[in-house]
Amino acid sequence: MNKKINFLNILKYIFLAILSFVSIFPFIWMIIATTNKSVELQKELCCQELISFKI
Amino acid sequence: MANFYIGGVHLKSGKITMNDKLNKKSMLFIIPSIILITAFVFYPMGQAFITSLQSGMGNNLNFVGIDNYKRLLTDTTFKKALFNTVLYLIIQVPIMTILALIISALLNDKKLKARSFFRTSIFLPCVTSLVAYSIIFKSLFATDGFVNAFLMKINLISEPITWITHPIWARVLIILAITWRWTGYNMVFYLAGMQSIDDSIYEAAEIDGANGFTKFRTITLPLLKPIILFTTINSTIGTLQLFDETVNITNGGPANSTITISQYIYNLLFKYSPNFGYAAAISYVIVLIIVVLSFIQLKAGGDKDE
Repeated sequence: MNKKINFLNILKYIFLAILSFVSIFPFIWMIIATTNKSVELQKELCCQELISFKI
Repeated sequence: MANFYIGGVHLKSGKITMNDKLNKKSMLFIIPSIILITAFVFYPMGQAFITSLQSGMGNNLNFVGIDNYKRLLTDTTFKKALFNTVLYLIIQVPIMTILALIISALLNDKKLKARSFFRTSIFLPCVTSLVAYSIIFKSLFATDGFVNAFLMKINLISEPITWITHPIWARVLIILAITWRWTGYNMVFYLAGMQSIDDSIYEAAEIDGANGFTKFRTITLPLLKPIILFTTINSTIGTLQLFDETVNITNGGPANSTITISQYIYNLLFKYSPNFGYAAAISYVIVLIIVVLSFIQLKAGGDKDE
């Protein structure tokens, strides 16, 4: 029973953490955008680098 | 002889006499509001209705009766705009409402750690300007943008999705954007409602053996009904007036597949040859749809005793 409650609790935190990240990410992207030229942002290479940096 | 006193007005033998000086003074306070509301709300509404019965270019308007309303029935762009608007309404409003309810129920837990952080971060999109977030979304969901690169990186897709140029994906993108922007806004209303529910009701339910879902279904939802009704009507009105997102993300494209009624009105006034009469007629159709939908929602969700 305790294990089940703990598992649900973990799921709840994961769900809220993902939602929070999704909510905040465009703001982070906005800050990244201010530090890059628009041409650089459109480049796929730039995005790949950002992803590999984040993950 | 019977005397009646109703709302500060003294009724005596059929005569209505204001016997309270306070009422005269309070009327004086109300008059400026009445004048302002009449001048800035009711007069433009009346003027717009008169304009909807006229047609012509710019200010050269001639009275044409209900011709503008008849034209709506054969206008394919209007039908497309109406279809898109209704589609956004049917798909987005329920998703957002349910999501906001789930989040608020989770965040209402007093034992939850980092509660303030979760609340703030989920509410944060609401403080963004509509144009700013639309441009950010356009950048994120570009064919060579971050979202496609991320989805390809985790092997969810093999080639980039054309979010902005594909008719269906463009609609999905608009729905995603609106949901991101407005879920936190609705969540705050539900959270406020949940916090006003007395803990003793939940404690009594716990003693009776109710689990979390049963408490949510039988206590939280019924007590939140007026707030759910309010947010649903607000969201419906907001979706029917959707403009900024479609203009800034897809500009109504591709081939008008994401155009909304508000954008079509804008196009009629500022992009094509200005036709105030026809645009006013479409505006009145939106008003009519909003009134009908709000009435249905009030009847369906309102208290039967009222």
